[in-house]
Amino acid sequence: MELFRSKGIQRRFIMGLISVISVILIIFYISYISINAKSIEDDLQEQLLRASALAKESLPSALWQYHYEYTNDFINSLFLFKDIVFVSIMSEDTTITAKTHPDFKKKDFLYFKNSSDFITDETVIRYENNNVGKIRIAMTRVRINDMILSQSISAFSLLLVIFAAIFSTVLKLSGKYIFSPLLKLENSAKLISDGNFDIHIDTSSKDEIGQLAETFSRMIHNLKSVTASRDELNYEIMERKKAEKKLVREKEKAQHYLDIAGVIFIVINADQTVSLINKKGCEVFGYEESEILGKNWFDHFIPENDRKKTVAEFFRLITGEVEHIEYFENYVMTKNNDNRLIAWHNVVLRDEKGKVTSTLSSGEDITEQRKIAQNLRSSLKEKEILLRELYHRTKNNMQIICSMLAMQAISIKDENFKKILSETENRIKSMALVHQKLYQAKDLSKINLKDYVADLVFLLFKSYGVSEKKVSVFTDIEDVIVLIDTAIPCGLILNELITNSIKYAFQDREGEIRLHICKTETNEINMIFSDNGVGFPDNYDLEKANTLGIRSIYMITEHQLGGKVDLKTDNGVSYHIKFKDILYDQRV
Amino acid sequence: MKKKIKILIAEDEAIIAMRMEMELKSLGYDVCKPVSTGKKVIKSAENDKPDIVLMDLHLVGKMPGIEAARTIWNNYKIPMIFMTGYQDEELMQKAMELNPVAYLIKPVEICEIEAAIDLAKEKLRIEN
Repeated sequence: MELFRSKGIQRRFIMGLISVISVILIIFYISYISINAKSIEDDLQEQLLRASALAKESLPSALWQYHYEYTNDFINSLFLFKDIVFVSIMSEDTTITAKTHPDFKKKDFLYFKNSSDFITDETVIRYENNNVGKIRIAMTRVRINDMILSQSISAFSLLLVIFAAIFSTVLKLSGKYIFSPLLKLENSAKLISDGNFDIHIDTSSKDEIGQLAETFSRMIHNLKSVTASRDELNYEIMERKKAEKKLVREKEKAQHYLDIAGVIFIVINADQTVSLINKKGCEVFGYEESEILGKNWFDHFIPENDRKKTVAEFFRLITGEVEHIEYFENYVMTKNNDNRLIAWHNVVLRDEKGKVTSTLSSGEDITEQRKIAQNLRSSLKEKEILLRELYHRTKNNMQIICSMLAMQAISIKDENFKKILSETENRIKSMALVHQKLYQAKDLSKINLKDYVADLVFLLFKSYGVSEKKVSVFTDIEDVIVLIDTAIPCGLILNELITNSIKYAFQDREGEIRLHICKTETNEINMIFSDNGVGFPDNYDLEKANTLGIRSIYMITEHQLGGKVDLKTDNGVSYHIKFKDILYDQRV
Repeated sequence: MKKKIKILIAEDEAIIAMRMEMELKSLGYDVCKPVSTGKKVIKSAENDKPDIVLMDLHLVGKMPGIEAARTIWNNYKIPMIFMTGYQDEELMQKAMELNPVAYLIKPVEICEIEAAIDLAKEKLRIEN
């Protein structure tokens, strides 16, 4: 019954089947009835002809002889034919005898002749070529109608049975071999359409349906594969989309960081075009981002003077010769045709295969910085020159004072006074020597006592006209670097010590002067000066001595340098002077 | 009587120049009037015809001492003793091109000048 409820191909098939079978059976039925009717009609005609023929044989003599009794018998015998309903025998247009079936009383021959329910015959009866009369016979076609009716019923019943048999057979077979598999396929298709591929399709049949099922099965298998691939693809697409979203978020985040960064960030592709620049870069160069992106960086934004060296550095990076360039400076042209000096830090960017694709550079606009630095440098240089000149001038002025004292001494007759002037000159020269050393020093604030003492000894020996053959000087002086504030008092102390030894220690004999200067880890400067001269006279009272030189040594050491003087007079004199070199901060 | 050596002093500092003049005179030399500018030293070299020029390369005026010295050397071939208070490598190199008798760094003691003059005298003797 399910088949009949179907609205699809199966219903159309059933309707078509019913129609075809019905048409065939109707045609068959009509043909069968027609044939039978014709046969009965022929039979009737034959009976009629036989009756007529019988009349033609039997009646001529009777009519000729007017033997009407015989004609009556003959008519009665004709009525043995059950289909004859009317017989009349006429002689010279007069009915001599007639008989009508009781069902058709009072009906004449004309009636039967004109009715389609009857067949009629009118036969002339001759006797020896003489027309003796004629016989009219009418036969009813009722038998045909009855036969048609009865046969129709039986034929219809038979055809109905045949129809039912064919129909049920075709229906059963088609249901089994066509529609049932088709319905199964249809259900399978529905399940597939719902995304269920775990179904079994019977492909045992070898006919077209079986082939269709097999094709369908293959299709399901393929669909399963395709669906699996599609699912994988969908999953991959989904994952990719997630990754893309994440990437976009990361990119936005990175862009945000780049934009709030206080330095310029720029990415330059291997073809020298700009693929990224942050807000700071746009601000510094005065361009919109769109005016920079995609442009050749070197052709559009690097001044011609800087282009060659900048491109060369870029090639070193992009060809992989170097992984990064820690520091590189070049000018960049702004939109206002102003050149800005940018200090760059450059690294290379690689693709997943490790190939260098671009460079990432962070840059800082150091134009103002550089100007300030240049101004500072020139200012510092100016100050250095001024300071050097000041030392030079001071030294010159001291020399002028010395020269004046020397000239003054020439005109003085008093030898003691001459000596005093000479000693004063030497003291001034000791100080001038400090200025000379400072002027010559790279560092304008400090001098090395080692160099200074060597020059001072030379100066004093020269001044007093003492040769080193007479008085040998042995110095052991470490590199002790001191400020001018320490150098000047040291120079004055040493001046007095050396002068005293030259003047008093050796008289007319040879001798030695030894000088050791060092600086301890505690920043204490030790100056140990000694000579092997005559020393102090036995009755010499140091406390009461009023010599400027000795007093100066004590005063400068103790008062100015905060140090100590340790004097020994065994085998000549020996001074151990020590002081801390922490009294003055560096001033220059 | 043996002719005295005539020395021309070119020095921008008057007192220093005075002292040198005094000391050189006391040593028996004939000393021209000291000059302080490049032009004056050239003029004096031309007019006074000194035997030796004792010259500070740092002089007063627009003409640098080294230029004046070059002119004197190129025109008169007078032996020169240079003095300078500045340790300037470039200046020293330029000065050396003029083949000086000595190049003294200030402060200069009279004994150093005397030794340099002795060298100049020797040079003059050889040339004559």
